[in-house]
Amino acid sequence: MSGSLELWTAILIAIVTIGGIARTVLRRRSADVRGPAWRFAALIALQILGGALLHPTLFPPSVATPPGRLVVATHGAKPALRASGDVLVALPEAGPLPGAVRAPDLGSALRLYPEPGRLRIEGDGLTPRDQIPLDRPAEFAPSPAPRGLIALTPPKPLAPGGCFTVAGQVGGGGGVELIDPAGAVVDQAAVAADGRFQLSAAARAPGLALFDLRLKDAAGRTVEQIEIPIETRAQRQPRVLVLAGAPSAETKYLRRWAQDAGIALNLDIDVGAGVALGDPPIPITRATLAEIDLVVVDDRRWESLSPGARTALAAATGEGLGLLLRPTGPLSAATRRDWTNMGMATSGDGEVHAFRLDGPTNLELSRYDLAQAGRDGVPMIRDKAGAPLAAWRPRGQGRVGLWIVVDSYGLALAGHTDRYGEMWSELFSILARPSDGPGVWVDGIARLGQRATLRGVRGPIRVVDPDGVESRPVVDPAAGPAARAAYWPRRAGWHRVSDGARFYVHPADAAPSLAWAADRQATLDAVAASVTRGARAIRTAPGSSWPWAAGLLAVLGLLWWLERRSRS
Amino acid sequence: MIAALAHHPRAARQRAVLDTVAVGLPVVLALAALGLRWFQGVGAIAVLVVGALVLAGIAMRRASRFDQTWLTAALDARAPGLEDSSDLLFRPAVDGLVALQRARLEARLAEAAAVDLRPDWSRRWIPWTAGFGALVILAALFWPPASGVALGPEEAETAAAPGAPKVTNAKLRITPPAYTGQRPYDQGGLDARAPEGSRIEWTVSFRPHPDAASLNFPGEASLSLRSDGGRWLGGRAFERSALYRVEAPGLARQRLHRLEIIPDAPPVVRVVTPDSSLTLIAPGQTRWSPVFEVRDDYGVDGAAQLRITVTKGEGENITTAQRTQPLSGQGAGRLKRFTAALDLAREGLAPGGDMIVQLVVGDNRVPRRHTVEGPSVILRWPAAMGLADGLDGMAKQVMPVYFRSQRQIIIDAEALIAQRGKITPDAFLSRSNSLGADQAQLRLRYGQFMGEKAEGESGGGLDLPTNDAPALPTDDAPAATPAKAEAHHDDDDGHDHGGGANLNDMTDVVAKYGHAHDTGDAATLFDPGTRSTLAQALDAMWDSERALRQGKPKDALPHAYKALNLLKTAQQAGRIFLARTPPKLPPVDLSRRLTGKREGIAPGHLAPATRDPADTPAVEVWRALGDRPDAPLQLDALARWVNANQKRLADPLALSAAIDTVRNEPRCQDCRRKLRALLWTALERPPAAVSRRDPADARGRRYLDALR
Repeated sequence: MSGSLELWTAILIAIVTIGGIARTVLRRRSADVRGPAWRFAALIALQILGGALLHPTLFPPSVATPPGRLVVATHGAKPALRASGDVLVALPEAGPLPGAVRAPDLGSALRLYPEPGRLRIEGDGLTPRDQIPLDRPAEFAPSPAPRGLIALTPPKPLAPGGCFTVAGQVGGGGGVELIDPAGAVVDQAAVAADGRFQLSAAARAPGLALFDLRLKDAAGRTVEQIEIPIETRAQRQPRVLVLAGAPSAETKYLRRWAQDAGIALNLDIDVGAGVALGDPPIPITRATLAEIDLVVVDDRRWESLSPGARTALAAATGEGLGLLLRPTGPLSAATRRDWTNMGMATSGDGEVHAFRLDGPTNLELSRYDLAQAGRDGVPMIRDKAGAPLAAWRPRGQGRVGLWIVVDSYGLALAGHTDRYGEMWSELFSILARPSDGPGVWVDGIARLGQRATLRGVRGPIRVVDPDGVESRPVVDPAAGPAARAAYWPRRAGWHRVSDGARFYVHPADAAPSLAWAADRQATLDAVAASVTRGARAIRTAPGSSWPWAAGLLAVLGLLWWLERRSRS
Repeated sequence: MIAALAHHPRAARQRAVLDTVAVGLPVVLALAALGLRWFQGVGAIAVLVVGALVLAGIAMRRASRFDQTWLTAALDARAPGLEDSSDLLFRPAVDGLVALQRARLEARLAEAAAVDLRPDWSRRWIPWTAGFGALVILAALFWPPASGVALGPEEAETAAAPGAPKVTNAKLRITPPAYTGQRPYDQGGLDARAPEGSRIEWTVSFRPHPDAASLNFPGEASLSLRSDGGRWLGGRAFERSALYRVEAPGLARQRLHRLEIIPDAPPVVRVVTPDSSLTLIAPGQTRWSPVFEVRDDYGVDGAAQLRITVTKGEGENITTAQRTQPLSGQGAGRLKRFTAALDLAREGLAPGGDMIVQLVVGDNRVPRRHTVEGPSVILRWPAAMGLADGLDGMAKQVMPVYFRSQRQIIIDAEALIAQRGKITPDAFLSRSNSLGADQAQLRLRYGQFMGEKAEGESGGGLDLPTNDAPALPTDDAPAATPAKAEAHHDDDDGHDHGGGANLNDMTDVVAKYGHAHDTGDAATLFDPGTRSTLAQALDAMWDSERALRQGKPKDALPHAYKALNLLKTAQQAGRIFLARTPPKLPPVDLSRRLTGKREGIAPGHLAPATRDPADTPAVEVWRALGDRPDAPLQLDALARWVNANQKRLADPLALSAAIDTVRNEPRCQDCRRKLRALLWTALERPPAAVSRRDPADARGRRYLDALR
């Protein structure tokens, strides 16, 4: 639009200029006394020049990136000598800086100073408020990395008695401690060389509990502390069908644990020749398997299953059923082939080896020398040496797992019933058919006064804060199936969502280095993205009309003077 | 006075007053702080008032010095321009030369007015008093309270109605029992830890003075305090930990305080030498001195008993002899050593025998001492060493018994008959007789099975010692557990294994050679048919033996054949029937049998191995505490639950106290948090349940399906 306007203006100016020249020529022809030739030539030239100058006066040409940088000081920025041409803008978090212009946020600063072609961010990084796309090439001069927590994976809601793991990373060294609600240290670990750590503890009865994660330095002083919210939810337990080819201690203790944990476990032992033990057998068809969440089958029983039953199992697995394959000895070639067809290719000869579990139970158990052959399996439970004892692989909506431990019941016999339950609970949790829906959960860590993203929102929800104040977050319709809503917490503590979910809002000052590290990373990402963005869009600033206008004035003045001379 | 000089005394007085205040105020403030500390606000105000008065008096006295006399002297000293005649300025009327001089002076008044005549600050005193005052004030305000002054924040929180008594001071005097050897000590506050059996005396002050005061022990008799001057006193001895609260008419309900009684631990016996519980005798060893070390928390009784058990014999024929020997220990009160010196020969230790010693020792607890039996130490003299010592002759050669079978007797008898003409009648008779002896041996052998008495010197009756024979006197008392396993036959079976009194009874044969654990009627080694067959066989053998002994083998043969036949018959029928000792099986459902139908068979649920989830009250209260700050709590049910589970809980007293506090102060959020933390320790971890994984969304489902 502006281009065409510019073009038409140029054409108009050209016509007017040509008209002016034509008039000058005509007047000279018709004039009695002809002026000197140089004056005529000068008049012509000046008219052309005037026309040529009028256009850039009206449409001043853009200038290339001007020199100088926009320096944005965030929290922790140090006063330093600035290069000439730099504009220093201090965001509200920055401390007092001499010569800085205060800006309420980064967006305002960018709009206020569009001229400096480059952006330099100093300090700890941009807060979530300022994490916007940067419109020019930027660089980031970060302050030293935080020594405290820089990453934390809070545990998800878990079942009663279940085990949870808190994993994270710290910027410095030292040790971490997990403290239970009664104030006792339940787990502690030294931070690894890369700063990572992993702590675990067990939940108890359904309810809400706050554990404490403490980071200590080498001298044992507490560096940082953050609450770990644990929500224990009583969940609908899966319906499990155990198909066995022979009664064994393994099935016996499995049944024992399942009954104690409230799992509906149907034990179906077919010892051959039409003799069945255990619970009344269920016919294995697609219809019955649709009612079951997990099938545990051993190789002996697999071999005696009818082809129809195997087909039903394979089809049901694709629809979400979990299938745990449990070898009870060296596998026959046919079984190996079948299991490979089910997605669980195995390698190894099936010899029995001894191993020890990690953790406090230093008990020697044995396992079959079998492993999931493909690289696409996910290992689950590991022994002390780090070798996986189980692996799973998706098959359609369902999952197929392999469990190679021979005598996990040894744990129960040796008094480690809890460890036994943990192991089987992990197996069942991962493999069983998924639940109906997890309810609303919070992305990352919610903090007081910061926008929290609620995910998994289905339909309108209400959030009740610890004071009982209710609010109705609006679901973002653009988010599609991963519906999400924003929530600004006004109180720290446990919040209740109308669909039954709970989430915890940390105080604003909880583990400051965690927020710092997140800001720093976000700033680094934004800066990395700005380089390509800046290169793509060549920055031009609209030039000034004044030099052109001055030139035009001078030309017009000269023209006027020459014309007056020619008249007189 | 000349107006130009009037400011000098004023300034000097001002300076004197300020200087006095600067020196004296820190002292007054320090004293006021002490007054506040010791006598509360009244004391501070009193000290302040008195201090201000004293300070004002001193200041006025110091200021009154600066009068005209001082001024003239000071001007003369400090202003040389006045030429020592400053007093002229103050004369009312002068004339002549004096007036001239005065005029001169008046011209120099400006100089005199400019001179600074104020006394100096007390530069030495001000820092000293300021520093001292600051130290005293800091100490008075922040010095930790002496014992028995502060009662913790809880008393401060319970708002007392105006005029209602408040506990202002409480002190405990704890007198441990004399045997512990601990001195009585005082303790501030109302919570205490004391050794078991200590007498605890309270001294509680109230303000204002109540009419009565008592200590209420929930679930026990309360202890009323007696008034003594401004204080209330009372005391009692305690054997168990307890919670209590101070009560007085009008006193706001107090929190429960805790008396933790440390029980007297029983002594611990450690074996110093030998270093293992079983030692073998060294060759040539004649003495043995095991050393025990006993440790106790308050004191070990010096007199102990050494229990010595000596065993004799081998295999199943073991007798024991036990005696005790007093031992006295050496060492300090809490750690004593007991050394036993035992002469092996005097104790009667023989090869193959064991000597077992055990220290029985008590502590000095009064009235009832703890007596413990220490670990047993065994000195063994192996039997093999006895053989090595040249006792070979004692070993008895045991040979198997050989005798001919019935068939062999028949064959030999027929051979003898065939040789009758070739040998002498005497040889024939003697050979026939020896055959008869063989036949007798065989008959006696079978007769044993029938319960017949062994006869003659060649009876061959088995006389092995058995577990059941009561003849061997064994003293099972010292070695309790292994002996019990053997002894239970005699005691618990409810039947008599018999000792050979009723040899005709078949059950006694069983009792002797077998081991029937059931009723006598049901347990028959031989069924009646076999028994009569065997009896006939024995009769035939007897006839055969009689003929053989008489030298008539031909007459003996039919009897011998008959005995052989009967024996074979008995052998073929010789099944031993034992009564069934069955499990109680349910009756067989014949209508369902062999049909393969399983309808209606309900799977049996396993008996719950873990405790019934009876910690429901604890879980409910725990959950309610985490829910809302003002959620209603089922505290009564929880208190009952704590009472019922006292053994299992780590600290039931703390839990009870926290429950009581929450009940009395429902608004105290800290108390609720504390109760919740204590409940967490009381909750048991349930068996790990399964947490279901989250479902994939539509896009995830499409992805998973495409993976296949």
